[in-house]
Amino acid sequence: MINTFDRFRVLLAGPILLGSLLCHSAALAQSPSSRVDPIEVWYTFAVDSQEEAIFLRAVDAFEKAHPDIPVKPTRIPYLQNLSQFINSSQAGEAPDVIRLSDSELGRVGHISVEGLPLLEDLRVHLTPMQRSRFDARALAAMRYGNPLYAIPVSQGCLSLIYNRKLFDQAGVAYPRDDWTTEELLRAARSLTRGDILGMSVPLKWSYWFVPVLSAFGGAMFDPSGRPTLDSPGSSEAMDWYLDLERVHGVTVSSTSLEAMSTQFLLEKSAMVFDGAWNWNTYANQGLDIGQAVMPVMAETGQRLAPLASYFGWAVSKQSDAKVDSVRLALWLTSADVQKEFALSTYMLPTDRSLARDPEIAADPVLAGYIRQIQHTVQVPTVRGASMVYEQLDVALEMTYTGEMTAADALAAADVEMERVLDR
Amino acid sequence: MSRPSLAARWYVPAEIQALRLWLSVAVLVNLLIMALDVVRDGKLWPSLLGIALLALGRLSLPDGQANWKKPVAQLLGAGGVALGLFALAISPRLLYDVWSVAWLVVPCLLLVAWLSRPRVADWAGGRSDREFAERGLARNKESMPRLDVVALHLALLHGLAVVIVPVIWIVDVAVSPGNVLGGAIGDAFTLEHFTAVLSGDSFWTWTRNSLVVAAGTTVFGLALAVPAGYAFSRYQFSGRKESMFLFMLVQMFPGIIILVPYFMVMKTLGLLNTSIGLIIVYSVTALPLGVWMLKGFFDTVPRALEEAAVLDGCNQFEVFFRVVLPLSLPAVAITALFSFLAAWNEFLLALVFNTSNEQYTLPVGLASMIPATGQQWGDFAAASIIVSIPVVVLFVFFQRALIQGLSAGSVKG
Amino acid sequence: MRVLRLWAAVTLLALPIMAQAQAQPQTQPRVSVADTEPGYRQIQIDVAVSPDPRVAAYEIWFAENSFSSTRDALLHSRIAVMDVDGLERGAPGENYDYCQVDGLPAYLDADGNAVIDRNAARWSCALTGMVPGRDTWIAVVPVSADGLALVDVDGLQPVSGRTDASDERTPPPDTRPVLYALGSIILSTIVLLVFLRQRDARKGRTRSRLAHVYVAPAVIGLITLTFYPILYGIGLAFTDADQSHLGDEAWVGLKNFVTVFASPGMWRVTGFTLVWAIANTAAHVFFGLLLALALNRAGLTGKTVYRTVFLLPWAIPGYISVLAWNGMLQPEGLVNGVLGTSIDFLAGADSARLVVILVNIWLGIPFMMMTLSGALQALSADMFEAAEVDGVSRWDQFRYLTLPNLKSTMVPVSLLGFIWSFNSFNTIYLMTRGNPYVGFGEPGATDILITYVFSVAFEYGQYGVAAAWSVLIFLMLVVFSWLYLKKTRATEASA
Repeated sequence: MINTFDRFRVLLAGPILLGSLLCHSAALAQSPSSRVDPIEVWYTFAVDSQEEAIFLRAVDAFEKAHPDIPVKPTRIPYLQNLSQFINSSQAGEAPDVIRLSDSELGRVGHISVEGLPLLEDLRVHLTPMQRSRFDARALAAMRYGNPLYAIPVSQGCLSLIYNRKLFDQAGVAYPRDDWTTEELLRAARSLTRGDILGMSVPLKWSYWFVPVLSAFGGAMFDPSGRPTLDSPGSSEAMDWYLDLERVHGVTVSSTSLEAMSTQFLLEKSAMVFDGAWNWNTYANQGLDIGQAVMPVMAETGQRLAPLASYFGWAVSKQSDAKVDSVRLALWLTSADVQKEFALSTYMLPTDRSLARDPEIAADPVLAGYIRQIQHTVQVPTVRGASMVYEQLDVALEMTYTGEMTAADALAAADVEMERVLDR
Repeated sequence: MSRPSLAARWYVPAEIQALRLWLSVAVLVNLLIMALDVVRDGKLWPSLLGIALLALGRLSLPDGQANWKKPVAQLLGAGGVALGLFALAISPRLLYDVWSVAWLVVPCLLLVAWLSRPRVADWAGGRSDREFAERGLARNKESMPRLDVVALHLALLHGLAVVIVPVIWIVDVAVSPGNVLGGAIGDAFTLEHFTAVLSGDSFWTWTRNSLVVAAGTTVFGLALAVPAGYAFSRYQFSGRKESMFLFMLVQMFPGIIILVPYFMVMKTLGLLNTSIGLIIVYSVTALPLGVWMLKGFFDTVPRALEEAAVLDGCNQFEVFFRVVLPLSLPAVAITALFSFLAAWNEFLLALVFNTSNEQYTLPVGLASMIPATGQQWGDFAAASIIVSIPVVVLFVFFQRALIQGLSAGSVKG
Repeated sequence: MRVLRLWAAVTLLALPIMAQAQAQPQTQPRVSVADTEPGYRQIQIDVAVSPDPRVAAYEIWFAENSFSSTRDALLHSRIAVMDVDGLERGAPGENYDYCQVDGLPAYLDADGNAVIDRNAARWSCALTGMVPGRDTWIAVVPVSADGLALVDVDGLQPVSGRTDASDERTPPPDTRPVLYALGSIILSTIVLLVFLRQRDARKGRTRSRLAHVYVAPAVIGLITLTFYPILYGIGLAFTDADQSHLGDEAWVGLKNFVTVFASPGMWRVTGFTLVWAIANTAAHVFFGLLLALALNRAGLTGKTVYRTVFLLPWAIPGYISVLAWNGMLQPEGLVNGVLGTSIDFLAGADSARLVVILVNIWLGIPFMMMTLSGALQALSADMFEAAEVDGVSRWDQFRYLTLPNLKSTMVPVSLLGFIWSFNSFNTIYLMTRGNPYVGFGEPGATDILITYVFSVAFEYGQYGVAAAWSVLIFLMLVVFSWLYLKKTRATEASA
């Protein structure tokens, strides 16, 4: 009896010993170490992609130029980037430098841990001259309220991409920059035959609705950042947009966003509104494609203006090497790096000097998209900007299914948006 | 009318027995086809008529007494065949149409053909002498299992189709050039995606990490689960029920909301960015199933065997390793497979607890193949196929343990 | 480095022009570094100038070392001098920079940059981008409208300044409470086990003398890793935890539960979760058992092939097969191709619900098949042979022999299956993300509790409310499981 109990105690001693060892090692791990920690930078470029190669080359060059600043790049799956950053920040394990989009900034901006924001306000880190290199709109998109949370590195927007072969087959003239929506619809109708669609538009995604909304004079927010989903012109815009399928039958709605690129890749549709970021996906598939600026709305005389979106490099508030981190962020946003990204992956630069760069101007795709970016609208980087799409999506769904009129759905969306923001 | 013998009372030809079952199943399947026809906006009357013919055919199957049933059934069968052929002629003749028509035509053909077999025809004509019935029963004994096996294969093949079509589709994406999601199956072939995936260094790093973590989880998970399962099965002790429930309990709280405190626990224990950390986490995740599975299995091992072994002079450990464990191999195999797969396919924790590319496991690595723009579907599909190969290999290996369990089972009785 | 070179080039280009400007020298602005620390990475300079109509802007140059020529320095900023009529004054913290003129906030131009009044004789600016803990030399150069320097750019007399302000940093989260919590959880578990062990010893249950030792590793491991997070999650449900102020939550009592019960669609989503979990579990067990029985048949050819193929949905990573199904169910996908239709299965609420359930059934059958196959192997073949000899029908064999003997496996496995289905996130998230929408501010048509909790937590940032939902899910499952286990008496040995 006693014997077995002793054995029991011996067996229990194991876990206790193990536990105390673990606690000890944990305590050791927490002791402050001298600053040789590398700058941890998170990036989301896909593994073995061109983007990753350019990025890693830039990091190497930075390390060569600053031998005393080691850098540790970590690849994070793109879709989990933001949640991973938020979780790590809560646990005090945030990286020093991270690449975020303006809409992600809109979500991160209002988050605070222990009363402090997640990101460092970079205004005090940059001299006015360093700042002046960047496009003013891009800089503005990197601000959440007053603070500047990231240094803009690239921008992008949707534009009209068309399949030359399908246009030739149907005997329709290629799209031009001065097209009106009437010409667009006429072409789309002539192109729609058999199982080929005139255009692929993901009708239930509000991101694709924004150009039409802006062409009718509507806007998602007023300049102060309050939602204005039921602004004048928005319900006409929604009806025009959904009529692409309901009346003209030149596109078919789908629940999947992939449907758009799949249809276009398989030459089942002649036109898409897509970003330069997908240009290589189409071109590498062997499609003969061209680009034109989005047309002018015949009803209003205003041009369809898609949303401009931006990426920037941000520095964590928790970083213990902010000066070096900002140095790295500036390096990664330098004109040279931006130019390399632009020429090989069609990320539009934010450095103002590059807009006049001869090599960039000579690239028809970059030049075309730089023309398009002159006709874009901007969403203020506010918390609502990350939530507005869901409400607009619901409004599109409700209108599409016929449960509500466009005007009612938009009014309800606006009410819900106000409610969400006041919560 | 003479009193039929016992054999005659029992005797129903195998064909008739099979037809009874198959026609009923055919009616059900045709109901499903009709539902699909509603979805397809197709014409409803052929399927309605088909169901009526099959159902009537089933009702008018001969019952061993000379009456109107046999010719009527055959007539209905012939009608079904004609209807099916007609329906096929007016359909777009897709693979699906052929399949749905087959579910009308084949049962009807069998109905006609089998009822005209001399033996069945005799039986349907009311023949019930003893010799006939006894020979029939002997023949049934031979042909029934054959018919059963055919039916079984037919059912399994249907299941197989449902299982394998998405797999074929993934394979097709993986061997098609470009990165399109979709397109016709088998239109082009390339191995570029496989070479692209396998040529990267990172893929091998992920594979190594996954193998270490999954193997570690299997071993460590079993080491935790086997003693616990054994104790729960064999001993009545204080806190037994409560701790068994505890194993279920910890699975019930939604994991996503407690990721951050979980992260803090791992950080406090110094287990972030280590394979050991993941092994411990996954072992604990796999515990509930393992413990309960093993407990259920140990329950079926008769205590008498153990007691006999004890009388033979084995100590408790020997009893366990020599008697109980071999008899429970299937459960051990399944627990091991489950632990392995849980570790192999887990994504969220592997992502959250590792912020270093050198520690990524395959699922996290695969996720980092998805670019922000333009999906690399071909590479992604190729990688997924490569990822599932070790599991299939492992399973083929484990099947032996399952079969061993079968032979061991006969020892028990 | 590169930046340095760029500025050097700019300076070189400007040299001849500067030489020209020396013809009519302006007095060098007197720069002094203010004693006040404006903040991290900033040095405040006060500048005294003599107003001059030729001055169109002031350039601020700086370097790590003392310099006399702009060639050895970097351009920090160029502050315009202009008429300020009609301009607004800035406020501290609103714009990129903060400058003051004569003690008042400077006026701002249309782009929000500070400008200096033509007549101002004193102005000051907080210079950003300074490296802390190190001397920085600063000089101010007035320039004309053509960009020509109005002072000798090779005879500058910079002043040195320094900032030692440290950055604001989120304090690292304190792991000590976690450590203490873990320590006490582990210790009390051990104490409890020892206590139970002793109680059994007192009661004379000698047969079970090692039982507590056998279960100790599993129980301690389980409790160590999962208890603290779960308790934390439960605690969170009673606080106002929200993304906008993480780390300083306040106790709010049952407010979050009120929010949960008042949220629109709460009963709908709970109902669908139940339908989802029951349909999935029932189908998994039913088809799994069917396949296990079919493949258990002695002498069936191709058994290994069948088993291996039927395992595939489990072997292939779930996210790829769900995405594959998603692709196959698109209007131009394979399913429509086979049927000769072009239906968007995921567009309608009911069809989307049906489809996600079917796909999840597809995913879950292999696991049940395997577990039940394993359990079938354990059944004694003799028992069935005896039954066969006695002429027991196949159905009765199944009902009276197979099922009761499978109970000890089937009960826990089906319960676990139910719990997993209830909390399974991937299929719905990857197939539909809860869409299609059914209304504003409501869970989507295919949302189940867990996917809705996810959006409450991570899309709306309401951690407290999401935790309250989680507690409710937890309670539902605890009650259900307790009743189920009690009813089936699964903890008892069936043999």
